[in-house]
Amino acid sequence: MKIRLNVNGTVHETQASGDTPLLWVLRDHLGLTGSKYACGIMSCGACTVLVDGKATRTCAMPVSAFNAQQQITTIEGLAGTAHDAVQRAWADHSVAQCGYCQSGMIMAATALLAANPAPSDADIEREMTNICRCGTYQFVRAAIKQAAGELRHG
Amino acid sequence: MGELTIARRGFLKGAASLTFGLVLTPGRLLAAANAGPAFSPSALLRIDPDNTVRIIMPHAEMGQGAYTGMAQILADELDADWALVVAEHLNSLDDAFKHRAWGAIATGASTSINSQWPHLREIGATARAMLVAAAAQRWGVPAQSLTTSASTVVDAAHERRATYGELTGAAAALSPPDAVTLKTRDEFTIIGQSVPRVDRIPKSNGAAVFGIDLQLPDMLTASIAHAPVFGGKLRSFKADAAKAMPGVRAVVAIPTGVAVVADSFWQAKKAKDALVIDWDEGEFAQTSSADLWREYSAMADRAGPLFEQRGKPDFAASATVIEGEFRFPFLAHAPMEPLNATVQLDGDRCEIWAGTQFQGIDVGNIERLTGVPAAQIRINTQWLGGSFGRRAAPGADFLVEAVQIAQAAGLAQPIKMVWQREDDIQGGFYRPMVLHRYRIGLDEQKLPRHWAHSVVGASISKGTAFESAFMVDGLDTLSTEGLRHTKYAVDNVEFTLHTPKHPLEVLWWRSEADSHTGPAVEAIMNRLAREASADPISYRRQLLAGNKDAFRIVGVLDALADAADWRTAPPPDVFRGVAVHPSFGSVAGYVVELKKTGTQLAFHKVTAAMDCGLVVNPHSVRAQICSAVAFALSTVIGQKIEIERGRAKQSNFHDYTVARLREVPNVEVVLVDNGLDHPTGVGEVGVPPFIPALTEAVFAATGQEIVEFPMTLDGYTFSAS
Repeated sequence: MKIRLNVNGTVHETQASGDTPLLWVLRDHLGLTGSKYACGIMSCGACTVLVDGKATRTCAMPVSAFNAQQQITTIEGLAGTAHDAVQRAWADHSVAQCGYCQSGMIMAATALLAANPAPSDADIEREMTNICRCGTYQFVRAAIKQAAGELRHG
Repeated sequence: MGELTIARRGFLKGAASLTFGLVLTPGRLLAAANAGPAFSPSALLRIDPDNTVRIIMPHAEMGQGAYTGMAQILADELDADWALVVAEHLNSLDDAFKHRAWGAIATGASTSINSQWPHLREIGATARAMLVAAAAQRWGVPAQSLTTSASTVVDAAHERRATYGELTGAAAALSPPDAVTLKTRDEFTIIGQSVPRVDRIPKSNGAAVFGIDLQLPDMLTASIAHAPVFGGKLRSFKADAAKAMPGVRAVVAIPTGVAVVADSFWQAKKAKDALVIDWDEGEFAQTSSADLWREYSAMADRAGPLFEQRGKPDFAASATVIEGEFRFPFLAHAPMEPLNATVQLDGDRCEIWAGTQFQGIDVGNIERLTGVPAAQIRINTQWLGGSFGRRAAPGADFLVEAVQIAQAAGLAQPIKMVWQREDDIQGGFYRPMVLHRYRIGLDEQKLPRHWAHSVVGASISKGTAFESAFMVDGLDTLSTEGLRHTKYAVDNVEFTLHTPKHPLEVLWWRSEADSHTGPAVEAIMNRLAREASADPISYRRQLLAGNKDAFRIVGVLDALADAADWRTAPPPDVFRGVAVHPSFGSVAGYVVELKKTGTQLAFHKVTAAMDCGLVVNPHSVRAQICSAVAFALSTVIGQKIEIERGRAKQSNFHDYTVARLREVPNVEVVLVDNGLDHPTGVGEVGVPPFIPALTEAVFAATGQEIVEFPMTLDGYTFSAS
């Protein structure tokens, strides 16, 4: 079927079967490989993108469930205050190790801070459920705290 | 400058090498675009006229920080501006990139930084000397009158300076010096600093291209139906439905199953799911984990070959005898990036793009498989989305599979083979399941005098190209390292190894044998200290006192005691455990403190101490300790592969669990300086001792001895916070 999606501010058209997960349309059809495949069952969060600002796992979410009215944002298109602070904090803390899960982690953190600019430790633990096999969690916590501080104090 | 002088080896004369004018990364021609001659005094280094310092990495980056650490070592001796240093993936099989101890291009055993230490320094110092000589020649002054810093040669007397980029052509025309002087430790400016990781930007904006992200013109994707049972064989298959599906280009049988090649991943996966396959499941289909444990248990009780023997254990002469066992399950590595490889076969050439730890081993496997000579094989290393040993396969299984698909498909296009998570979790190449059974005789002072120990676990190296490297007297040291040559003083020792065989492959997994021997030995020490009503740190110090090789272990124990305030009794609701373990040339230890609230256990505080010799990047070491804690914790709180009718019962992250943020404690890391003047291992060292430190804290809190992993608690629940 013909697919129309608004990704990173641009409307894209492509052909794919409707059951193709959004992740694979992004990766194989639109060439946006920053969002990762790791489990295929929406368990680990490596495939997280923002859909109308909300962190959304996409590796088992059929593309037919999306339309061009929705704003889909991937790591490649992420821009704005919360994201800039998050990305800066991620670099400052050298959070990434292998880095494979970090796109999804950053998308989840960006969505968290957009909704809650001053997350508590408990908020971070509840919202940041992505898997990082390298175990960067301590640095993820620190980076989110730094980004939150920047967002509060401008 | 310091006094250490070493002779030059292996530097290229007439060093304006054009070799790297050919370096291509996807979509980007790096070198050829730069004007003017580059200065490349070694295959590992190129300085461009635009001042870029490019270091071609002899070891793979899988998260452990090797690229950053290696770059720091070379850049420091070069006096490079750290901001201008770029790490570049290896795509050459040149001898210059061989592992310095192993003789083949490879990454593993926590050796990247420590094995390259003197060599990268020498390369940096040599390049620096040549740039200084070029400036001296240009200005007509003695080289000794010039200094360097931040990629610049400075002539202070004449207030002149030249950037390295301005000197590349002149330096390239010079011969390398016969010898160079290396810095002394107090002269380091980049080594020892927590400089930011070289890969932090592409790994926080989605730009890093992992093997699975590779995009080439006309590329196809392959998905594989693997045998559901270990040792199963393909009998026949029907592909009519699959072949009729959109995008499908080929359906081919390969030795490990049936592969579908299609235009995209989803098309390949769907068509693979539509295959109708008749498998010969083989004998293992009758076997489950309980059968294996029964077999292992029976083996442990039998006499077997000894891998260590001193004196003769005499339990009749012991005042007290204690016995016990530990059971460690099969474990999958589960790197976040599923295994993949892209292959293009083009007549007599074979080009591969993959994240691999073993380029120098892989090439031999590909050569044998294809008949393409090594000189016509190219392996383009990519970022590795984790590995933990999985991408270091003696038989290059996942690259071989990708090449077999390309061979069978016979298409001109490059084919990217992509495993699903289920292929990874259920595909074998596991950390062996291991049974440890011990019997220890104590004297009147409750000190161990007699120790009999059986290890039962499948051999990793037997039957592989690594057999001769690891088998000693027919016994695989990859099964016993960490227990063999324990530093604890016990007079009479008999350690036995039994090696069962299964149709599933086993493989080194982060920390190798130390992932089970370390927890076993340290849990035993904790048990003995309890038996002696002794403080577990003092007890260990007593058993290590006579061993001059144990000073680093003692140093780590002492640092732990200080950092964790061990001598002060914890609050009544806090329970502690300690453990220490030497591995990969280093020593790590932990104090784990749990807080008990009713029947609920949670982390209170975790303190780590690490002696990894000279620390190249303190942030990196801390990050690897935190990483090790999450990795080890996962094995205690849930991770296991069980065999059910010859299959792996677990299949994905819902049942093969990896600890998540809410479960993983923050760790206070103390770096211990025991006086070494060179780096030792980092990446794997932190895993083994965390497990017994945690289980001892659990025992202190609950009275329950954890002897089987993952742990099950009777009447208690465990959570991070």
